[in-house]
Amino acid sequence: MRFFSYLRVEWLRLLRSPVTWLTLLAASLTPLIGYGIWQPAGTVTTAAVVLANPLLAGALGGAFLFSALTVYELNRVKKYHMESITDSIVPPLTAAAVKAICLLLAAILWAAAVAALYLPYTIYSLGSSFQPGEYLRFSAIFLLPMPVMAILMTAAFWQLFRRADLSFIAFTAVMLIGLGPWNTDTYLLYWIDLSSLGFSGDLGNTAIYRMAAYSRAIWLLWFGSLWLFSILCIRVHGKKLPGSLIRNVRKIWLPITAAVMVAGGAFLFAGQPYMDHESPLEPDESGAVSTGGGFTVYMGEEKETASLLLQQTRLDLRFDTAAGAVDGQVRYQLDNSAGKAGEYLLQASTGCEIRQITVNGEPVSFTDLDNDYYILMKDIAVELPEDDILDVIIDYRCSPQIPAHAGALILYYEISPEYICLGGLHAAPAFQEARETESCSYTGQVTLPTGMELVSSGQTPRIAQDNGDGTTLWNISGPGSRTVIFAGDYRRIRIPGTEFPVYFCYSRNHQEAFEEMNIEELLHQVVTYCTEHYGPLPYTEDYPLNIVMTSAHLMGGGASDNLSYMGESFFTAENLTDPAKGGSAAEVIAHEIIHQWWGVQRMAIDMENSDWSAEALTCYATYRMMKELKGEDYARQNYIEVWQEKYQDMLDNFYLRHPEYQDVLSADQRAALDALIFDASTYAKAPLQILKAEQLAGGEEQMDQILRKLFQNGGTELPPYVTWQDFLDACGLTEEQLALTPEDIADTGANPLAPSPAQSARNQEISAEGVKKIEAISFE
Amino acid sequence: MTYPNGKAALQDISLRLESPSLIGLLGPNGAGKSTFMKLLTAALLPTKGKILADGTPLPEGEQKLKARLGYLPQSFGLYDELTVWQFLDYMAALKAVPSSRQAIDQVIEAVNLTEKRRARIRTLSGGQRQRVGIAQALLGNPDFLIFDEPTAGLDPEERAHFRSLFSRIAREKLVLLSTHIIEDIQSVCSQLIIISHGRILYNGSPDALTAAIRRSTGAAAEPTLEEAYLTLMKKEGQRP
Repeated sequence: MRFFSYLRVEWLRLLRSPVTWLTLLAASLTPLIGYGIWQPAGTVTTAAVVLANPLLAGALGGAFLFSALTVYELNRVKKYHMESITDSIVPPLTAAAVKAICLLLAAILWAAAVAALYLPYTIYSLGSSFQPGEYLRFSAIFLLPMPVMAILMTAAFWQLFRRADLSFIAFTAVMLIGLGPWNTDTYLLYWIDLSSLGFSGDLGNTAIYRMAAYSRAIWLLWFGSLWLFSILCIRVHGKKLPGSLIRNVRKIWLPITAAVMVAGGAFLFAGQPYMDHESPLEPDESGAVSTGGGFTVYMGEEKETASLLLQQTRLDLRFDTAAGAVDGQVRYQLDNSAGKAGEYLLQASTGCEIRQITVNGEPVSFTDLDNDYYILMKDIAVELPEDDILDVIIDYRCSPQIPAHAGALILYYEISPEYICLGGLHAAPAFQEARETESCSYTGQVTLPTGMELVSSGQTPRIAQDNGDGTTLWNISGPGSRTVIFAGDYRRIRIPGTEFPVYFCYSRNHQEAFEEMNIEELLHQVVTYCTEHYGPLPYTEDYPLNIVMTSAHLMGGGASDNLSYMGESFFTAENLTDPAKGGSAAEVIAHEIIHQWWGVQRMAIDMENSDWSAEALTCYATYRMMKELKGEDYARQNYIEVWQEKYQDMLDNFYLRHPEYQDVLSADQRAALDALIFDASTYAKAPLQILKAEQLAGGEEQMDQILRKLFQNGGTELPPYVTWQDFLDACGLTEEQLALTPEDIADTGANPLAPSPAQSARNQEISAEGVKKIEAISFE
Repeated sequence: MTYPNGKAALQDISLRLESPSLIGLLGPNGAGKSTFMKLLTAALLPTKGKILADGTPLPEGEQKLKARLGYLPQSFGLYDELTVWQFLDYMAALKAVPSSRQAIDQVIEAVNLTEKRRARIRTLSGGQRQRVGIAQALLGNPDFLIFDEPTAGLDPEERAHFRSLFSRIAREKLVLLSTHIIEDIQSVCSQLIIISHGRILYNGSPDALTAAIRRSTGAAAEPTLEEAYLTLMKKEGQRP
């Protein structure tokens, strides 16, 4: 009972102290910094700007101020030489514990008060997009733990050092480590967690909260154990640190609890499930391997394997959104044309656990090679029999992971109660050596929480039944063997006035905002422009074009089959209507939709010209559309000059101009150089060449006719949809005629240090040599 | 009690302190008086031997002892930003003193600080601060009071007042009082302990000490307590 009376006394004393109230007031003002000065969650969504950033700023400000308050309170007894009196009344360990508990209680109440204080403005700013659950969860996971951890840490340091200055310095040092950008690949060390994932305002952030909560659990265990250990170090009976430690450790539950907490934190740290920390393998001469980070393709010798022809795929996915996983069963009907038994490789995501594989009803052995040869991918070696027809059933469970070596935290895929984004190998493992037949198709069922709307590539999903247990069963189907799945609280509307069915799927939270900004009109413009210039897409009511708003967690956009998707950040009112941004968000939306005409497989590179891909014509078409909508000056400034500058930057790159120094580059630096070359070649050089072709072909109208013919010819068997040679042939030009000259990439005068045309020409020659050297390395 | 540096602060101490009584602890600087008092409050632990409080050894009985203890150390500080009343209110709360308002008023009156009750402690003189220290020790009506040099900084009139106060309290409590000033204890202590160089030189009543010194010196008249103390110190080769 004495303990609780001490607690009450200290609590009332703390509340009566002016220093306490000064601290609380100052800490309550720190969220204001997040509205413009410090924005760790970025500005891609309104929720990031008005919800995440202020509360993160408040969390950090609160941490520092509560740390200062902790030092002040703990040091007070020593400062006023009251120890001899107070120790004769309250045991020192009890006093320390009581003080810490009171401070923690103050921090908890402060966090609740701050959350309440900034709530009205957040509701006002977000309008219909405001979700109380998101606000509560963010406050609980980001705002509250920070001052709590700061108090535990600072109290621990003070009890160890018994000096106010050292305690605060030690605390600041630990905070700076957590803030440090040098830990991009180890999110757990980001214990302050400056979210670089992009904060979603519409489609939930459970994936971020899971990681943050996991991180905080680890650090709370560790700081808690540090604090418990420091309690053992409190000086008692006139002894110094070692003597006091020996004395206090007799309270055996203290060191045991501290040890359990340390071990618990270590266990969680080592077993973190969200990030794939494996390094991608080095290229192997015997196999086809791709490196992470860059886009280099390594071509090795082909293995001598029996060929498998994929006839049919059956997919059954049951989403466990609470756990962030999917339980799946995929069934492949394969022709084993060579009739040989042997080992075959299944490609699977690194977060995939294969439970069982049966072939023609019999279980077969398999080995998870755990080789992580590409970002988030690994091989499973499976023994297949020699039967002509193989009915392969694979049972698995998959939890999407984040690659640790991508330079930033990127949620490519996620599964949460609010949002699902899954596709390709992350939805189901697939045989590396299997080739789809022309008639190959997939069917399947997807079980989702009721209330989630399913959007997938292929035919429009249909609800099969309500399972009555809070889940709904959907039927899916489509050509090929893979699908891309999005699910969320989507609203699906048909864009009026288009020649073929186009649907726009977006979060219901955004309905009011979209209706106000007339997003349908923008989408209608893009589809109509491309239809008029190139022709309609072959979509039907059962197989329509779906434009999908995806979570801000995945930056940018993409396209797959009949899906064009882009992040919610592009749909914010600020981005769509801000003239200072040049309407860039609208252009990204247009770009992704235009991919539907020129190829959705952006990474499919023409093997005869590695600069040419679906991006080339898509970029050019976007430029032409914007020129028509916004004028020539706008198009020149935001497209042509951007391409020129990007390409010139590549030519000016030191290591490309001096290939003899490329040997000193590390693997990561080479990957970055690869990425630079790819980016400049794909998104700048190729569209500049099309622009040149337009001029040589006789102008825009001529080019429109050429492109219309190319589009309507139906494309080639292999991606990209229009090959480089197709394009040259359609234009009646040669590759040499479209080689870029210094005049084609002449500087606009904005850069006074730009090289002269002659120097640019020389740079281009040298850089070409440098590029060859990179490619030579890549193709070894 | 031997310090880590090897210095033997106290040796061969064997005492019994019984309540009610006022026990004076006398000795030169560095004799071990404060160390002895700290041992009794469990602020220090003996390196050899044991201390029993009501039959329970310290530090196991530490909690029980502290619940009945009022202690004024020789060197102490106060929360300067508080008023006298606020400080004593806080101390009363720490000690879980029932009817604390009344108890605080009583101790403030007992130490003659009524007119200073609302003054900030930082504005008090040294003697007044000493009185605040005594007041906090008196809070809660503890059964065992330890005062280490309580009258330091007090003027003669105040010292006389506190002599009388301690004497009154000691009728029902155990009061242990250390001092340099013999006058503070000579007429009020029932038991006198003289310590020098960590050893007990004398343990008994003041009258018995003076009688013993008279016998040993063959003096005609009974010496004063101070004379007896000085003689004892000289005999032990010590200078007070």
